[in-house]
Amino acid sequence: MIDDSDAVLARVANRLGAAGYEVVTTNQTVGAARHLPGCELVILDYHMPGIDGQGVLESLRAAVSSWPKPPLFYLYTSDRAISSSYRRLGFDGGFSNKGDDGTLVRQVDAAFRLIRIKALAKRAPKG
Amino acid sequence: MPDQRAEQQRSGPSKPRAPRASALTSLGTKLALTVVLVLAIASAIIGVTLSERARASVIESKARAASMMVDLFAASVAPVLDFDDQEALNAELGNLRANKDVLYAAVWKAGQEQPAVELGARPALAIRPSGNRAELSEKHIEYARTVSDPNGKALGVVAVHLSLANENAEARRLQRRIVGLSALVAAAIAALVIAVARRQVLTPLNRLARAARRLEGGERVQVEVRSADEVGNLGRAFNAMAAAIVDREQRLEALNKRQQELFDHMRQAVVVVGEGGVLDEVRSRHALEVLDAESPEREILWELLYPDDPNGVEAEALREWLTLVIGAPSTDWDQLAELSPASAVLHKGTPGERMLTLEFRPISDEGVIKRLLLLATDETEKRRLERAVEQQEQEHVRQMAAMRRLIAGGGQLLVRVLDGARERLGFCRETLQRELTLADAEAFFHHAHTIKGEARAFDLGALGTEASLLEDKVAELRRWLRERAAAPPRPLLAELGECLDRTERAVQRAAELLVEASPIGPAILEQVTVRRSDIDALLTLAGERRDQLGRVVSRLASRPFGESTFNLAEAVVQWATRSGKRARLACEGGDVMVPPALARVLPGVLSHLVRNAVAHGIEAPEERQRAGKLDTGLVVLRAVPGERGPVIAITDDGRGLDRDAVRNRAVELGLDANMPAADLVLIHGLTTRDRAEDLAGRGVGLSAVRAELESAGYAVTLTSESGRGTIVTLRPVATGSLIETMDLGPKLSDTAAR
Repeated sequence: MIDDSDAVLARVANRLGAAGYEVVTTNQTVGAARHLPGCELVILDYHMPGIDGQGVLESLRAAVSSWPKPPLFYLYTSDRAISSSYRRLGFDGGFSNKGDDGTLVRQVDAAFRLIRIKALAKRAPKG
Repeated sequence: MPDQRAEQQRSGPSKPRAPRASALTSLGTKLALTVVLVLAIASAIIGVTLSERARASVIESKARAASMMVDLFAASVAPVLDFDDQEALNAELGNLRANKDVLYAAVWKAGQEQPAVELGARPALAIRPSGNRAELSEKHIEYARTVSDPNGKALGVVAVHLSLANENAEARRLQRRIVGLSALVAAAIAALVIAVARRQVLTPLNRLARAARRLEGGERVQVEVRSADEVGNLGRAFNAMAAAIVDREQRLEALNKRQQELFDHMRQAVVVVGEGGVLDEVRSRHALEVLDAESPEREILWELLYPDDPNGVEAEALREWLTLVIGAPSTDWDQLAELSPASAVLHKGTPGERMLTLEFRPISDEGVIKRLLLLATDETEKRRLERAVEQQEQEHVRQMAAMRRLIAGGGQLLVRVLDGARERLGFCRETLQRELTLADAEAFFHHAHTIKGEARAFDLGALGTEASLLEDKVAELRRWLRERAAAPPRPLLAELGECLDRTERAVQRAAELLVEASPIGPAILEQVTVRRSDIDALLTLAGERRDQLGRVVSRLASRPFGESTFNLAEAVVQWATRSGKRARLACEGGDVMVPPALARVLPGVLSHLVRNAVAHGIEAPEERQRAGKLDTGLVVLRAVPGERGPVIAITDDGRGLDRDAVRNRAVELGLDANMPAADLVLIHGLTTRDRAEDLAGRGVGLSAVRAELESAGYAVTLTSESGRGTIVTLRPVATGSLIETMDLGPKLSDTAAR
């Protein structure tokens, strides 16, 4: 997770960690790519000092462009207008209700289930 | 199974009804047309046939008559020809003129080609007939007769052509009559046949058709069967079929109702979802409340489960999963079920928030999953209770911690506050029993105000709140008494009484918390405050005496064991957390009195030993789980009275002493490695830690502990069992076997069982 707020990072790491996820957090938008190896899902804040989430996303996508299985990038912001435009901004998905940690855990669960569902659908298309 | 709405419908109204037969295509019309056509043809054939026969009869009669007439004429002209009497011949021919039917008559004399006499127009091809003949044509008859004398000699030939006009006219008239009659008969027959067919076939069929439509509309219907023929059989078959349909519908309805009752009595909300996430009509009553699934519109599951975010990632995951599951082989269910959503929260953050756990079950047909049964359990109340319990526990922990801090700052002062509050409340209650004056109310107010202030000063939140409410109510009483001369109303006095009750309960609760938080338990409520210097002085003056005074002074100077342990409970948690572990402390025998010499050193000794237990004994949670232990380690401090002084044990359920590490370290330090490991660890400088940490590893602690205890007349021993834990026992230095055989401390098995 990349967010400029340490409090948000700590809270989310604690909550997702308790839910069984291994969480890596950083408030550094520059050089965040070094944290990507091993990550399946990257959660990005949008409004950050110096560069917004879309800018960070572009740099991260460039960093993983050669990966056979790059991670998914999800937007996590309390800005509703931005949140609803995640696809246009280039994100793979978006998490809503920022600040509600319980909802985030369920949404992260859903995102991982979605990855597996799509993989399964690709392996066994219905005739 | 259908709900109330469906009960109004019976079989088939949703299907289009069979169209009624039009007049042109009806069986009656076809039958009538067929009968009429057939009979018309028959009557025509019969009419024509009869007509022909009638004509033939008429013609035959005419022919016979004509033949006779010609024969008579021939006979009459025979003598005339014999006598060759031309006038008589003309006269005989003239006799024929009266017969209007005679078209032509002629007589030839024998041997003559031309007729001797003629009557009428000669036919175009008339030639002398050669002999007797009769020729019949459409319009006339031609006769020829040879005239002979009695001896047979041919005298001549006569020919008569007679008209059949009258006969033809008669025949035509007969024909018309016959045709008319036959047509009439045919019509009558047709009408009869149609009437019979209508009565016997068409009307019953129409009745059956109407009954079938009523049956289709859901009515219970039977037709009256009046005949024993095929139509009657059809009617009976229809009645049997209608009864069977009604019976089957009733059984289906009963089955649906039972199933609906079963659904409605399940505590889960039950719905069935098919392709595209569309909900079936089948659903339990609970589903209508829990999922708001009452709309008659087309309902989609992800819109019901995620109404606040129907396009979010949770809805998308559910959508994709349903697409994958519906139509998948049943054998894949176990794998697919793992990817189903396990929970959902509806209307989060509103008063109507609902927390649901979700369970899906496949409904298969021929090995393929066609639909899914969703069982949604509303766990809102359960979660609310869990949260409430958790909050209460947290509040209790907070209060306990606050109380401990209070006690650490001087428990006796707090006891005095609580005793004072009880006295003040007692006064207030007595005041309420009599007729209140303004002065009483002022005193009442003062007491409530003081209780409130002292409670707040000591951070007794609940007591402060109740005292504040009591103060407000007393203020109301005071206002009443100031403004009116009358006695205060009973409801106000009753409310005051209730406030007093609640405040008294808050005081009692604070006292219970004090007892619970205090390491010496109820004894704290009986404590008095004395200066340590006074006790030391008393001990100096009389501590050596062996009489009763000496024993009393010694007891006065003794301290309860709990005093040495009260701050360790929180410290253990902190020490453990700092080193990535989990641990808790339990104390027993808090009110066992510890002699003054030991009491002086005991807090430091216990602190050190407990730190060691956490640092060296208690394992990390993962290691404890692998060993089959609880995540949280336990350290127990236990004191039991003894004849020469209490025996104290510090027990942990950790990994025990690492004997090999201790021996190796002893070898490195040049110590005697054959000594028991339990003794080696008490040697100055021996530690198995490579580096000193905050908690342990300096190598000086246990030896210093031993020295301190020895100065107080106590010895320390250590027993350990690998993987089970360690017991450190502090005993008064004793020479008698009595003490050694006493049950001095807990066994490791006791600790592991906690």
